[in-house]
Amino acid sequence: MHDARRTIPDASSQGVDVSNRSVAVKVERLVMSFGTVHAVGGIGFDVVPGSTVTLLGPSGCGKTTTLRCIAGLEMPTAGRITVGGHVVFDGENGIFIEPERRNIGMVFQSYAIWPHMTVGGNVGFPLAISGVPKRQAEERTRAVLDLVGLGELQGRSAADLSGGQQQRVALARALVHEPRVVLFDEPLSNLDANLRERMRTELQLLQSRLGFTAIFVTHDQEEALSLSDHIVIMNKGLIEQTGTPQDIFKNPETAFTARFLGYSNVFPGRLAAIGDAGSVAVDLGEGRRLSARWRSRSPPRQGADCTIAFRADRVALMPANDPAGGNAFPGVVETVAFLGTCFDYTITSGAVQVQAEGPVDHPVARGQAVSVAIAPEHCHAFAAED
Amino acid sequence: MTLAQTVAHPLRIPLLRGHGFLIVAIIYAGLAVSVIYPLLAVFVQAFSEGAGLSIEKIQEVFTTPNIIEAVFNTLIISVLTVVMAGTIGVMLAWLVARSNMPLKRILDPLNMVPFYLSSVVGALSWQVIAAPRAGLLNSLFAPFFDTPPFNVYSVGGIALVLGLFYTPYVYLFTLGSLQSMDASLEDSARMSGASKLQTAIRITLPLSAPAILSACILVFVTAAGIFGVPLVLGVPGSVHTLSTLIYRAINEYPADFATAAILSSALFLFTAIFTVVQIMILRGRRFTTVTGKGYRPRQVDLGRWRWPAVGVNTLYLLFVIGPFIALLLVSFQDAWTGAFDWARLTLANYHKVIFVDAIAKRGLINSLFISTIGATIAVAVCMLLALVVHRTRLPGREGLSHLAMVPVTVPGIVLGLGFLIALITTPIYGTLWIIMIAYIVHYLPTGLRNSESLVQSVSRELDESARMSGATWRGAMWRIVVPLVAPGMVSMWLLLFVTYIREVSSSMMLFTFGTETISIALIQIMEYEPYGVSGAFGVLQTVLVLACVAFIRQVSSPRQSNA
Ligand SMILES: Nc1ncnc2c1ncn2[C@@H]1O[C@H](COP(=O)(O)OP(=O)(O)OP(=O)(O)O)[C@@H](O)[C@H]1O
Ligand SMILES: [Mg+2]
Repeated sequence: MHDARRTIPDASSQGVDVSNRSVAVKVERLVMSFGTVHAVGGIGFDVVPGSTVTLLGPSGCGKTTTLRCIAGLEMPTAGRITVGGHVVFDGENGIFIEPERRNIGMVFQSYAIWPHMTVGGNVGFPLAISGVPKRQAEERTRAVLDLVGLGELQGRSAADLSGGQQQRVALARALVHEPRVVLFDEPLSNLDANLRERMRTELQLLQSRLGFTAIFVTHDQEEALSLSDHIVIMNKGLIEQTGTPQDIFKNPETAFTARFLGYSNVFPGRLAAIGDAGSVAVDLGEGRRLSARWRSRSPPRQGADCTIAFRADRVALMPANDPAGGNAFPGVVETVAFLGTCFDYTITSGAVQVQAEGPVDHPVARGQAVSVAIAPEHCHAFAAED
Repeated sequence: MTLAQTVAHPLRIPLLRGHGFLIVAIIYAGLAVSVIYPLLAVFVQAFSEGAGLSIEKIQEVFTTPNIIEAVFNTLIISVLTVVMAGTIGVMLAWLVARSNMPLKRILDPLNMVPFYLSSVVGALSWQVIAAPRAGLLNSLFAPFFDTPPFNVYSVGGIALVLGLFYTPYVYLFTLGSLQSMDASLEDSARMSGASKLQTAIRITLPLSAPAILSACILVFVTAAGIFGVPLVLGVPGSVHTLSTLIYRAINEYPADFATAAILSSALFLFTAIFTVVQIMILRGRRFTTVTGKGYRPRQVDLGRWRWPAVGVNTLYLLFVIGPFIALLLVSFQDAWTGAFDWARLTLANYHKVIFVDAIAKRGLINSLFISTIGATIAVAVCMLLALVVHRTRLPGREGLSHLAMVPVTVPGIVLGLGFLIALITTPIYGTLWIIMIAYIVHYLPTGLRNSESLVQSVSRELDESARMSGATWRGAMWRIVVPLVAPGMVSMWLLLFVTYIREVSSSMMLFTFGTETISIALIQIMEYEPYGVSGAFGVLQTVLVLACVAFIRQVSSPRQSNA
């Protein structure tokens, strides 16, 4: 409820804390509780200018809440948020900058296109609000609409646009006042698969052309891996792991992360032996034992319960009793499914059911006895989940 | 101002900021003064006869024979009204929602018409046809009876008119519940071997019970507190209710404020208790039968009872609309002889109430003034309240909507008395403004419910994206939310306008010479003018109201599908 008009700050605006220039958004010890529900339980991460960070996690883990706290649409319970070197929220010092003064663009999950305005009216709104002269505003609106490929729709009513068009209008509106940071809450989830892939590419092109910093929320791991420079994996309001897509994909630090990134084989076990350089031996019961890499931050303890995870495409199916399969255990093929590029197998070994993938040119028949082999570096062991 | 400058003067978080806190405090104070203070004034008056706290006067009041009789009359009228409105309302709702009764599309909106009509005009039209001597029906049947068979000046007559006019409340609640019910619940009863009738009685009705019960309680308390109809139909036959006694106590010379306040407190307690019960019933069960899947419940085939069902529905409409037609005929006659006579056709009655009769003219102008300005203020206040409650995070905002709902428990006559006691010594007494304020407060719950559902129908992300585009809170509300709900605000304005035009109870307590409203003028004209003149005035009011209602339907029916 303030009258302050915002102009578009240029890069040379005064009073910027230069030491923080290398961080576009900084979130520290952020807590957000709704009554007794702790949606966000004290998280922190940094976003490098011009990069894309994705908040990834299952439904209800607090992604949207975190994003809304950065936007200023929620009042966090505690913590500190810095955008472009300016503190926009600080629980201890009672600082809260209203959302309209944070210079952040946002694309909502529902797109939130105003149905009582034209397409041009929607996109030009931020300019009209900040008092940009009409002529200039119209030109810039036009330019941004061209950028997202909707140039000819400027005068159309926004009430009946298709999903893809709405998405582009929302994007144009978020970009028109050239914010340094743009927030995206599952912007692609309402689109069909084809359109989703195209928009993903277009988003990346736009970002490299305009150079804004993007924070992206999604629960789709593939989207996160393909779009981001950095991924923040969230679980129950806390950060599970952060890192580059490759890093996270190759080296999950927790069983949760592994499972969430599509590791289809996750089993409980016991630490039988501890070697050097993080190698461990995991006992899976009934004589099955695998060598694995220890991934948890806490050091491994001999005899402790643990969790082991490996991907289906890392499993090699060998003829039974093949001496070449070192890190292996025996099993029987239970189901076979042809998926076009590969075969999908379920192998039963006592109480354990393993998912495996095999090449199309060497099919394995149902009921066949096999040896399930996984290279130790693709076998990840974690402290047991509680 | 650039971001850099704002950081130089960081704002305190809103919780600690004077700004929002002040706004909430002002709204609380405004509501306390306009809603709570008049009620308190009544209580204080009730317990402070003479000096200090007094119980004696209360004992005296409740041992007076005609007051005891009035309490019984009030109860009997309320019970009869509920039985009638409940039976007819549920039956018609079931026929419209769940049967293949023909002509539903026409009957459904017609069944809602009495909801908008003034029950005082209804009472007047029933006088025309069933007054002991001059009533149309009585003169029709006179050859067959020694004494006139119909007497509308009775407990039964009052309950009949109230029952007819409150049927739409039960109808509306029940219809909503029946239409939103999951059809598979009934289908599975049929599959378990229940007949159509058994299914209706054992499955459908119990599932709608919370809606029906809650509508019945609403009708029960409204009937207990109603004033206009008992005044028009009860007083001529010396049938008193609590509300007419309250009015009489104030109009005696000297005015007996103590008795009026004691009776009002009793009436308020009665309505408040039942209203709280009603709210609890609605809260617990609201969503139990609603699945939101939006597929149509199955319709029961009435077979050869299809047309008799139309007959039943038409009979109800005839009871409501028939007397109005009689009134219309009477209003075009220069003298009423018990039958329409072309030779006596005249417009003189209309000429009289529009151009000649001073009270009629004043009533019309005053009511138009109060209703136009009052509805405008009420829409603004209710929208502001709804926006503060649903679109801010200001502390204490939820309490605001609870406080604004308090008048739902207060009968108009009690509220009128409260404003009278509280403001009689101030200059505002004797002006149109005091009546306008009483209307706004009395129907604040109606307006607030309306505006809250309007605001809630706009997705939050629509205004949040305006904030992210740089708009202030006020800017986002003004440029996004308000334009999106504008058609709804027009309907809301018209609904309040119609409600204000019909209001009787609190106006009756607050009017003075010169500030008569249209309903007061009608009641006064009925006392000294023949049916033709009061009929013309009643028709005028009805036409005004129906024109507004037609307009409401026009505005709200092709509802734009906003995101
Ligand atoms: N306004 C609110 N009031 C109460 N609880 C809330 C509110 N908003 C969110 N929550 C709760 O906070 C938790 C996190 O919600 P959030 O919307 O951030 O999840 P999310 O990660 O975005 O999930 P999704 O993928 O389903 O969108 C949930 O348990 C949710 O129920
Ligand atoms: Mg979400």
